[in-house]
Amino acid sequence: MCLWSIIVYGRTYEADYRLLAIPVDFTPEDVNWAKNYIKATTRKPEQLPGNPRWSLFKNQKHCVIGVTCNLKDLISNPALAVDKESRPIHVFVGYVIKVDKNNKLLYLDIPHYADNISLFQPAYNYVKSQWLVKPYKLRIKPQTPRFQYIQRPLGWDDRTNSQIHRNFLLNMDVHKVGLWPNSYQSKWIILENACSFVEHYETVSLCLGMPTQNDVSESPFLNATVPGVNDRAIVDRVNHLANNAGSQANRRKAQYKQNRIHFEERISGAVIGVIIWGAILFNWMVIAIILGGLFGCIIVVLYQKCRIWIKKPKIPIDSNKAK
Amino acid sequence: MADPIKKITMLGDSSSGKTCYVWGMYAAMSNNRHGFSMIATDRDEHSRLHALWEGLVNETGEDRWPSPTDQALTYAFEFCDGYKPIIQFEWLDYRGSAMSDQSDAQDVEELRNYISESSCLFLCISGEHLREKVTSVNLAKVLINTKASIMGGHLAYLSQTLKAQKRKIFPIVITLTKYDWIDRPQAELIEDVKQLFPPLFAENSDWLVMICPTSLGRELAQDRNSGRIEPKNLDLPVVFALFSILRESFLAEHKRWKEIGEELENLENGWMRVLNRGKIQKKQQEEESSQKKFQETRKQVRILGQELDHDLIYIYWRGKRIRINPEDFC
Repeated sequence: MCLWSIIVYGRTYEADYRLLAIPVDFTPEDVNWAKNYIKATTRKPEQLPGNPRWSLFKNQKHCVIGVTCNLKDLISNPALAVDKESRPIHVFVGYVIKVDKNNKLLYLDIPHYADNISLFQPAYNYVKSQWLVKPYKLRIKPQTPRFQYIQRPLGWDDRTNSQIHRNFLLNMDVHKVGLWPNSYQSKWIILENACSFVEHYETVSLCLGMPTQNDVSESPFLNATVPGVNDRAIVDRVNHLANNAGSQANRRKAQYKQNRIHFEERISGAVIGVIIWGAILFNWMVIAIILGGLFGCIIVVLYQKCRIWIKKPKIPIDSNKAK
Repeated sequence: MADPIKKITMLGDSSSGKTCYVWGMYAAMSNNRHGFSMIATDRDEHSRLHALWEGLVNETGEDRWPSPTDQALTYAFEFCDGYKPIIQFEWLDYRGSAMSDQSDAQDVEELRNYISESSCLFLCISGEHLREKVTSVNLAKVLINTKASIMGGHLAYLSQTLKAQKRKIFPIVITLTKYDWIDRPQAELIEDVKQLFPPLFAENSDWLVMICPTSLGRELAQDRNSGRIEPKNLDLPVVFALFSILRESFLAEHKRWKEIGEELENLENGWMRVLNRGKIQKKQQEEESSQKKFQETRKQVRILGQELDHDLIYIYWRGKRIRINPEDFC
């Protein structure tokens, strides 16, 4: 049986979203690592009621399996599932296992995918005592309760030697995302495969039920099931924000700069060509004419600059008066 | 070159109504009067925002309200005149407590940066906390509940940042959400709001400030789960923000037009005008396009100004209430 700790992210009656529980050995880097994945699973929370999102993510130190859901779907008391303003609360509740130095999990008893998320309920029970904490107290002394790794009688299967489904091989390339159908069967098999992959790979991540492909692209997850995807697809990770109007101006600017460089290169090339051919064909005479012309131009430009500078009005123009 | 994208930030505590305001404002601005409209640049976001608003209007029970926001979300909008985009702006929706938290959280830093890059700042105050008249007895409590002191701190830091960066100060909108909770004279309420941010209304204050009460429906204070949604004033704060942005563009464009005119005059009067013929032609074109642009902007500013020329709109500058006069832009 594995030694598991817990990780819980959520909101309480008055205090805003935060980590409510973390494993005892989590460093600030580990907290940020886990938070990035957790926050990606809470996108578009309006789709969460009745559709819990399972996720699994692992690095060289920890492996987390958890679920993001509306609290109402996890606990039996509806009064404890809404905040002070009666707004529905969503939470991430997960179990964390340590990965040993050889990148091996000693025992791997990760749960099978199921519609029933009650197996995560015991983890949430540990944080119930924080329900009435006041927000200002958290600001005075911010702290997140830490939990030991202990044996938890969760009744999951040992997956150490589980079989890999060849048609559901996970994406491992950080520049791509693996998209999968969001059916029950697909979710079940992908999670099974992920369990096998965590044995052999340093980094594995999977979210079951991401709202859209863009949400996957913008998240750290390498794999996800997404509604509307009918067949397995591994696609390039596109930063959706780059397609937004927000960065259109920057892209235009970069394009302009690029074009400008090309233009200047062409002009330089043409000038060098003219000089070489001029020297060969006209025995330096044309070059002398061109240089003379250039010198004249420079004199005129300098004269114009001086004239504009002398004539410049000293009193600033008050644009407010313009009507 | 395209105008830079403007940023609008709404500061407000958790559950002050920021998310619902964005949904309602988007619905209200989608088909504004006088041919103006607003659209999300991302089509999926457009569909989502409308679906969420529809849910809020049609649903009853606790499920009609959005979950508390737990992560920053940036909406990109385009404000259009006759479906022709004139201003692109971004709107940040974020975890309310990020405003009061310390900077070790990632979203806190993100919010602070966003504020300093904004073109307009909305301060969101929930009407729930202003049901009673503000007196010296309850002032401290109201300041804590509305988070006005924390917002005041942000304004002070912002003022320093703008000064250091030699940037102009921008307009502030105090959005009084959940106005349905308040049952007392509006003038008294406005005076109470002024008490929460005294520096903004001081005689030497350069901030242009609008106070605007808004509501999603007057029945909601009595029955939040099945009360009818009847939005009130949701578009006005954004109209004011866009008016201010466009007014700045108008003034800048007018200044540019005058400068081009002077340069053109210099070129035309010089003895080298024959050699400068190409340059003069280019300047003439520039002058023409600049004039066209500033006249167009002037028309848009005038129309938006008409919407703000109203007795129930409270705009302050240097401690005094002022009125937007659309005739100024004729």
